Amino acid sequence: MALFPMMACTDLNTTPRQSLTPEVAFNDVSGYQSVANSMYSRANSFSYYGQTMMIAPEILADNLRLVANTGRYQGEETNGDRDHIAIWNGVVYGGINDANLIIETIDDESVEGDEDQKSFIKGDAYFMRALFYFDLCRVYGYEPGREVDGFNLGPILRLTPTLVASDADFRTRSTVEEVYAQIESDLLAAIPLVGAVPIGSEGVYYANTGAALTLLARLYLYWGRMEDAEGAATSAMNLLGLRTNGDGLSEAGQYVQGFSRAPHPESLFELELRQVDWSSVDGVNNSLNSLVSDNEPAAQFIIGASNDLIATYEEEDVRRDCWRETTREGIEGPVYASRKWTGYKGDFLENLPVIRAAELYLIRAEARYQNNPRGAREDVNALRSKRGLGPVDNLLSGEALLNRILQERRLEFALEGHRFFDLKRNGRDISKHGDFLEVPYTDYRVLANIPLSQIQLNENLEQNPGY
Amino acid sequence: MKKALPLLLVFLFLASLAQAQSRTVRGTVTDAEEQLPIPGVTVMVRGTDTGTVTDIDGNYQIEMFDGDNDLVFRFVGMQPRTVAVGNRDRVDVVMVPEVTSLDEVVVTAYGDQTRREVTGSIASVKGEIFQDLPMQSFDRAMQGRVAGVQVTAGSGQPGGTLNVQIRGVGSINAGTQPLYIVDGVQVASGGLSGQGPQNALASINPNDIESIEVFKDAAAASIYGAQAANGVVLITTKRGKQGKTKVRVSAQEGLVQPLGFYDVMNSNQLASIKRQAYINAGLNPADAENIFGSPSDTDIQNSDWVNALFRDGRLSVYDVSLSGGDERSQFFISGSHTYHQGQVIESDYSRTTGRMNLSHNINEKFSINANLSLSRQITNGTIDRGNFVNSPFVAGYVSRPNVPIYNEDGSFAEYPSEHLFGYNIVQGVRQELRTGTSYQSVSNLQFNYKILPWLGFTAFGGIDFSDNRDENNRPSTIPAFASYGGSSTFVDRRIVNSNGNANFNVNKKFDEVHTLSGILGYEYKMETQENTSATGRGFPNPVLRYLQNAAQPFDVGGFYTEYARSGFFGQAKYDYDDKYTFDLTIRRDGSSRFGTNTRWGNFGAVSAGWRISSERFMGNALWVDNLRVRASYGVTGNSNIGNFESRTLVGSAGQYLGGGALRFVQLGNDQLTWEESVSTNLGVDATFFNGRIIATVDVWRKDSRKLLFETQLPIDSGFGAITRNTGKVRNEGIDFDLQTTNVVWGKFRWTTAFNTSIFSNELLELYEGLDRIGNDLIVGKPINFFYGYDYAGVNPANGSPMYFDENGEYTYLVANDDQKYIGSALPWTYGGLSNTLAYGPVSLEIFFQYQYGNLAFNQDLYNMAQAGSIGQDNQTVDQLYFWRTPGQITNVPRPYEGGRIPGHSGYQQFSTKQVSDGSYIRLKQITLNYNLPQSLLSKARIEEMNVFVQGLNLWTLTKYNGLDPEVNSIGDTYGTYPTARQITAGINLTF
Repeated sequence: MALFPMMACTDLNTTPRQSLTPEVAFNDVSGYQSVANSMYSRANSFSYYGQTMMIAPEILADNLRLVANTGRYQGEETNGDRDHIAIWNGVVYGGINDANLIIETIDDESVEGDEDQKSFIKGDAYFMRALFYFDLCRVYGYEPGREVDGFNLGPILRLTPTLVASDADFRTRSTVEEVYAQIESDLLAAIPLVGAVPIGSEGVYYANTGAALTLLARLYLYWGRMEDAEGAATSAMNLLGLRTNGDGLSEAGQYVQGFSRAPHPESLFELELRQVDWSSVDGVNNSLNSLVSDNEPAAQFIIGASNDLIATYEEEDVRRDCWRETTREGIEGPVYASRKWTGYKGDFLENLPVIRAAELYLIRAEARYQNNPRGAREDVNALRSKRGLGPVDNLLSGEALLNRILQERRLEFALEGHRFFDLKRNGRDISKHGDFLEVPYTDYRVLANIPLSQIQLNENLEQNPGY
Repeated sequence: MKKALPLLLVFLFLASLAQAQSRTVRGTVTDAEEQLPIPGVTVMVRGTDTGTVTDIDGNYQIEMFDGDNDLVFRFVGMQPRTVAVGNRDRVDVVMVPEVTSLDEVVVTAYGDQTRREVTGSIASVKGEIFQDLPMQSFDRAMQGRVAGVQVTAGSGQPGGTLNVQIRGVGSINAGTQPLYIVDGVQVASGGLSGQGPQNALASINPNDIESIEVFKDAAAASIYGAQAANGVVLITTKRGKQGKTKVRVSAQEGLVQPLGFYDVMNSNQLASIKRQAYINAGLNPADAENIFGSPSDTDIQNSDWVNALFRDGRLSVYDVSLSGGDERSQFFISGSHTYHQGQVIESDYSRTTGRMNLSHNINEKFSINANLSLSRQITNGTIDRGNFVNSPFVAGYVSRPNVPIYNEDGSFAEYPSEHLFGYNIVQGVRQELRTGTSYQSVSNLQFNYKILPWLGFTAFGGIDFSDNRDENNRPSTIPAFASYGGSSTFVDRRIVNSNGNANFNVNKKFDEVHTLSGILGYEYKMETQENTSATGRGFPNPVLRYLQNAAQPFDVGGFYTEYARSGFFGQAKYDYDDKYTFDLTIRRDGSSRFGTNTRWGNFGAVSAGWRISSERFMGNALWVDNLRVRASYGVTGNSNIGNFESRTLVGSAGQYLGGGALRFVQLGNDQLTWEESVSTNLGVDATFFNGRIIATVDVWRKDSRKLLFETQLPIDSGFGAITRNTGKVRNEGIDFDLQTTNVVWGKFRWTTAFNTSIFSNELLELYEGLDRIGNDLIVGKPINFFYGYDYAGVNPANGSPMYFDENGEYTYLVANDDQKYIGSALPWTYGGLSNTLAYGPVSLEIFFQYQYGNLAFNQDLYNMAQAGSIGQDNQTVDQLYFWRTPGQITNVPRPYEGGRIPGHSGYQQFSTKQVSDGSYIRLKQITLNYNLPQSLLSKARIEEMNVFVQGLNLWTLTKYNGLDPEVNSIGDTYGTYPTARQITAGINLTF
């Protein structure tokens, strides 16, 4: 039956042509580079640094307001029940799994390739794992020493890759303290592997020593280990050539434009984005630029600065120019559109600076304010000098000085995702703008809820209190 | 219904009363098959009331006047005959039995059987039942016509796909659609296009179909072992018959209308509820007025978005076929064209089909069949569940009425950017191009060779080939697409799905009473799918839309996937004197989708039948024509999962800094194997009173086990799920089918076809001792249900929405544990009822279809009925009955801008509020048909001509709170394309 050649065969061997088997994918270092790319690419997601991590921590507190009601962020603005930051998901934990895969297996003898390249990729993995866990800790747990009713749990900690189903066992949450120890160790492991790059150079698109030291300093600050925070910040500043007088940062006149340059001149770690990362309408629907700015006619512009934030700027503060006064249908009085997220790459696209050099001054100031108020004031003043402002009152100390530092942070990092965490880690009530009700620090809504489906799936997983 | 029977007898008697006469005609009426005289045949002089009945020896005599020409002979169970008498005074007539369902040939797996022999549970729908109905695909023809088969339209879009469940839903994650076989070709169901749900099954013109058989239990289906777990639907197209060439032409034209609309607010109404929402939330009402206008402004802009988007569409169906042949060769050739406008502007569907079925006997031993078909389907415009809120089915209702659609110069007005992504939906629908074009051929070639009179060999090869081109152009004239200068996406898909088999078949009778038959064969099936897509952006002019004109080659994509299946099968059947039948089927199948060592599975079934009516002790019961009991037990398989689901895959994951990203995209399971369904069936077939009552009852149970289950993994592992064989689901029920001839009174005839199924579905087992998976699956409950908060209405004291908490107490703020089981999404009964009334040449068919006992979710209400509190969406008018004063009893809470009163849960909670009774009964079809009299036609050499008017989906009785319970009863309902009412008139001619 020549007409039915197919009948002669019982061939059931098929090949998935656009996927690889692990053996093929990971037999040389280029496969691992691709996994590192996956980690960074996940971090760009709208549910992470691509949108949520920049906007939510600001609107959960007092920096931002909705200027148009589309339903988005309405819950976060009012601190509604279960309206928080949701990163207990496949983006962040998938990224952790990518990192675990690299750390665990890249040193196998069977992996061909250059050792330097391998250690660099491994450094990427340590750094990104630290960043992922750090964010999980601050969203889902209390900082050590700031526990409410002694609740000290953080994320579930996994340090080995899930390669087969049995690896995906049901685990309990680790304490924040335990996870912090792991983050510290990861960052210390990353530092010798990744290498130093200059501030604002293209090297900041990957992990680097400066970024790792800064994240370490930030970790110590959240941890309350002030001396270590100061030490790490100082090492980073020395490494990066950031002077006590603020030299090394952008000049005041360059501040606003800095946000429309790739990479940002003060970037220590920046995620690079390209048009192909988005499907057809992602730009207008989901980009930071579309949500917070009005420079594109089609932009949604649903979020602006709160009047409270605007009122906090001193007159000469160049950072005030990151907001453009305009009007919005349905809103009485002026509203403020962002000039930080400008979509300068076209069609709402821009890079995402995640760690900027200015933070080092503010970390060190905060680490110093109790034991070395003078040094703290110097750091604040150094930053202010690059923002068009004179020094602060040189008698400022104690709580007033801390308040001043937090206010400086608020202004410096407006719309960069710090505000809520800065209040929370200091055990402060979450202040709000306008008529919105303050959220007491002890309120259950200070911590995010773990997704219900995960709680139901994993009996060992404890929900945050109050949910 | 049965009451009518004695009436008939009385009538027959009355009819026999003789009248005045002039000449006598005599004769005998005999049965063509048994050549015996038939007593009791009605003999009428055509065009008069004169009539008689034949006596015990089949003899009659009747008087005819001058001018009387024809005699009409009628007998239940026989085809009526009209005989021209001429000058004869003796007219003997031979009557041919009407093909009753008992002796109908039922097409089974690898050969034909008469219904007498079938021991499995098979239901069939004859082509004539749905001939000339303006439906695009045959799966629709099964709706309400077959007991045990639930057909629901996934969408009302012309050319859309349907959801067909045979005897419940057995799988949780694997596909639940039956296996479709068209003339032996295993065709893929589902959609062909990404720009519209083009139904792959629509490539077969329903008018080309001779019959549809549905194999419901394992005994019937297990010869298809692989993939038969969800039942098998076998389609047989028409074949030519020996004799003069017949030409059939039909044409119809009609209307398509929306079934109904949501009643949404005008500008003043929306302004008033929003004003109240601002006041209640402590905001400045002037801000609301800035956006929504003033509640009292009589000059306010009032746009009717709904009216601008929906319309009455046109529907045309043209069809022609030729059939005929001689002793050695027969042919059936047909062509058709359907054009069907949607109820939404710019939405339409057209289909052109051609078919050629040939049979040829080369010699006494060797014959060939060839079926060739080609079709083209084109879908334009809006797609079902497409574009999220920017679908006309969502945005049409929620767009703000105080925003103009058009500028004064007639151009499209800009829509406010903060609502609906700044999308003017009318402009979007008008200017965005969405086209899907598919070419498809389902063709086969079959050789039969008779080695010995009782031994045959058949070789078969079939192909289902489809080629699709989708085009989506988003011009820069639409503001949302302006920032990148517009875009065009082209997608090309190709599916080649081929199968072949070879088998030996035997059939031998011994000693007059023992019949032994059997099949032994091998089958192979392979499917490949390829897809290439490209998107370009930045078109210098919105008129340009081909990629050559794109400034930026934006994105490319493409994939290739394949699977293969092969199997050996055998069947043996023994029949003793048409009384006892035993049947054994065995099949062994392998699928490339499973683990290397676990890909082969064994399936099979045993069944038996006992014809009680042939037993001697039944000899006296003359009113029993046939009574038979059947029993079967068997196992079938399901492999309906992704082609590579058992493998661990490392796949692409975007890019970073221009370098490709890879990650584990799937965890593999090398132990993955066939899902099994074990079914038991007990059936009774009965025919009474000369075929006046035909009933079939089947009691069945289907246990699905080793389910292909996407078991959840904790997300902290980096993976959401892995497919394993685990879990158990039970479906059990009763299928009941009844066809009766209620009244035959001269020219008047009333017949009824009724079927109903009662079934229950239960999850018996999960895995690792789990008794539930989140709120999605619970042991002891059906596998599709609703789970959520229990809405308790509005507190009359303060207008706050309330819920019942875990303990049944009122609460404003719901916690996770307050969610409860609301009810099943599966009906417990469904079916159809068709009544046909015929009076001479006029006939009227009235067909109802129903389902009962399921809840349905209405996602539309999420946005449209939230007391004007969230965002800028327009609301349904009933939201105006919102709470205003203490003591007021209402179901609509006080409007509160933002929808989040401190200390309360948000207004947009999934709760019992959006769930309602999804039961419905629908007047699915009315057809009024008139056969033109022969006397008129014979001069024009027309054999038959009839004109008809028909309507589909004419009336629905339901408590469902949305637009269409049929479409909305399944899954995600956001932006569904509702079903339309269709009214057509047509004509068909046979030469």
